[in-house]
Amino acid sequence: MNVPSEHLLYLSAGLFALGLLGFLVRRNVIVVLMCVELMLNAANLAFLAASRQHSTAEHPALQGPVFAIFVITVAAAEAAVGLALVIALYRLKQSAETDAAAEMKG
Amino acid sequence: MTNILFYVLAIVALLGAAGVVLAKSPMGSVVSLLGTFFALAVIYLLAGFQFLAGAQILVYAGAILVLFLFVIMLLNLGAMGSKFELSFAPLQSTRARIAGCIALALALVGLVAAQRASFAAVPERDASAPAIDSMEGLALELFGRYSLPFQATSLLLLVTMVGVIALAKRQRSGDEPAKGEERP
Amino acid sequence: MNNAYLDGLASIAPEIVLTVTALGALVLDLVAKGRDSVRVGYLTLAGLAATAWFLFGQWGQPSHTAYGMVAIDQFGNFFKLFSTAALAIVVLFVMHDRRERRHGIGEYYFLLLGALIGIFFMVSTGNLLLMVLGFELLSLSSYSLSGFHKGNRKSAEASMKYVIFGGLSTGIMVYGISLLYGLTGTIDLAKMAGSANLVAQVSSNPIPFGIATVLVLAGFAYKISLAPFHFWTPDVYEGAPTPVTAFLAVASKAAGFGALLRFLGALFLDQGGTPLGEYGTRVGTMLALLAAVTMTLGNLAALRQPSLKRMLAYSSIAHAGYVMIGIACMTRGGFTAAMYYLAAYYFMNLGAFGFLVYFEGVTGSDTVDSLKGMGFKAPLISMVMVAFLVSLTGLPPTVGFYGKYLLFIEGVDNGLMWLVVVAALNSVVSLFYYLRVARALFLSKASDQEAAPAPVLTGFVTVLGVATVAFGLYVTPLQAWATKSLDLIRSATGS
Repeated sequence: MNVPSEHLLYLSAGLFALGLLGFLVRRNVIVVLMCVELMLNAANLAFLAASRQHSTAEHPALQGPVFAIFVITVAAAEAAVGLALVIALYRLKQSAETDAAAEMKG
Repeated sequence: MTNILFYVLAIVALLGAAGVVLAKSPMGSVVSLLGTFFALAVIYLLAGFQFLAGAQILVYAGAILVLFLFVIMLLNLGAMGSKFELSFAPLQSTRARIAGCIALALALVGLVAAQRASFAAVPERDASAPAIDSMEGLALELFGRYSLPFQATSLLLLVTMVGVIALAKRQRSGDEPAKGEERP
Repeated sequence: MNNAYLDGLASIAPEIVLTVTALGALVLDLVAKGRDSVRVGYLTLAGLAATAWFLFGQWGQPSHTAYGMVAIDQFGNFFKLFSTAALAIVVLFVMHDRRERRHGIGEYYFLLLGALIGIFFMVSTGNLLLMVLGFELLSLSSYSLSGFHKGNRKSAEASMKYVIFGGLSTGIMVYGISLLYGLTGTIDLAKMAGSANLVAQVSSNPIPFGIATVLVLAGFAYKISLAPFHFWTPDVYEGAPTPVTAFLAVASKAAGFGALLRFLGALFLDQGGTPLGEYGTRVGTMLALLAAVTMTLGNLAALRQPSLKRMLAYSSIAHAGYVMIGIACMTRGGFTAAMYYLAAYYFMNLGAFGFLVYFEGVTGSDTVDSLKGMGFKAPLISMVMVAFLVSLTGLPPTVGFYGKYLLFIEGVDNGLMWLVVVAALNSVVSLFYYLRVARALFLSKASDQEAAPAPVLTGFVTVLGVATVAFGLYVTPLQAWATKSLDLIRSATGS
């Protein structure tokens, strides 16, 4: 395919914005974490688009894919910690809504 | 031909992302997210990233999403057998309007950034061309130039593991034990 | 195995020592089955001492780059030494906090040390990949640490908020980095600043680069709790165990500043006249605005906090605003002043949290009201606390005063007069809530609460207090150190 890299970035921006929207409007912590995954995926797509742009036949730009691999690792780690906390909070409050985590104010 | 496939997949990915935001049950969100991940994996493949496409499926769809499903099942949040339904209710409050404006603004900002970045045109890539992220090249980078971050990742995962175990295991004696809970 | 690899190992010896200590703490706790938690604490302290020894060993070395991405320079050394010392004090807090002893202590120390390794990577690299990894290492450890009081609702809630906002900031930051990579084709800051591509971009069309920079800055803003990314701070600081709060408020925040200084320094410092330099001035103006908002929000909210812990949280937000004055100048002088203030901040804030640990142990509460009359029960530590409060307000003869003085001078010199006025007004506001604590300590009637003596805790809090005053009177050494540390910031980011 020879779609211009801009179009890949458009898609990436769209995914990122949808992830952010979900992050801001949803109240279920699990869905909020999924939205974070969505945002990280948007970043990965942008990395790969940039790498594709900077690659030549002889010199592939590998920093993009390498960064993307590390982002996937980080995403997995964050999801694991986030979900462990969902379980811990659920044990205390029997709820996985963000409202359950709103005792402290001010 | 492959260009058209890209645009179709891009729409699928965006619809999936919208589904994550709008699905009524968390289970619906997971299924939508799965759709987005698969569409993205194929896009990676089309753009010439074979390893990343594989990793996307294996790690995101195969591991991370299963983790999400697992927690949803564990907490009994996804009513089994319920239909996949969208709900626009979360979008109909003042807070949501503000959030919508922020997200829209950021999308516009991203679009402008992409549009003004003035990239050169990319040549057509045929299916037989070697992948940009060939295993050999990636391995040389990961174990050569990026060997230190690679090793740092092992520490990152260990910290995560210890942290998760510390958080999720039942509390030991002390620290406000719940009523009726046996002290080990 | 070639020589370059082994030389690299020597350069990252402090990180290796920390890793070994962390694993040792985990294993020792497992073997001792939690019976002897003090021994794990001493092991951790020994490891930190060894780390500091290796850091001093790197003192005189010319700055160089290990593995093409870890800069071994005075700048990194400055932050590394301070965070090592801060962590040692936090470990002492944990050892003397009765409420902390019950928890899985091996995991506790392991996560603290893991966070410190993250800080080391963050402040010493010009490579954005390693910076993000360090960032995450610190974040992931902190998430787990702030939720360490299982069964305590506030702790669980704090941890939850921290993870959610942390995830958001990581997402935004990584997205920004991906755009930067797209524009320049490199993830190394030094190469980025020298990239012809970037200069062409900035002079022809600065918008994409601006967007990418702002997105990356959002990630830093989260770590240093700069408005509008400060929402998580009060709740997390209140809910987390107090020693962890001290760590987050001091070491983690300073590390965020260290990474921010390196990022801005590599891209914009000493670029006067070039398109990139002009761009830096504009970024500085934006940061100045954020600084004004941050300090005002923090101080106004701190005024009406009944809880001392939460008040200190808001005060730490306000202090982030003060430090940003120096950074917003975008000059060497400004950066030096910011570093000096951060050093001052280490002393006075750690001390204040040390007092909080002591006082929570005595009264089991963290409200200012329950402090009443404590000044007569525990006169030494209370007097030292007053010294910290004076320093936090920024009055002489303390280190906080000189730090603020430097920041204000630099601000005026660089045309940020309005910001300095805002900051001065804010300092006056902050006087009210700091004085409230002092008044509760000494001017209120004594309650019948007995103050249990805690000689060791009192001892090192006093040492911090003496340092706060001493460095306020003899400012030269610390200032010279900050200036010297900054001199190498640029030469070492290149590889």
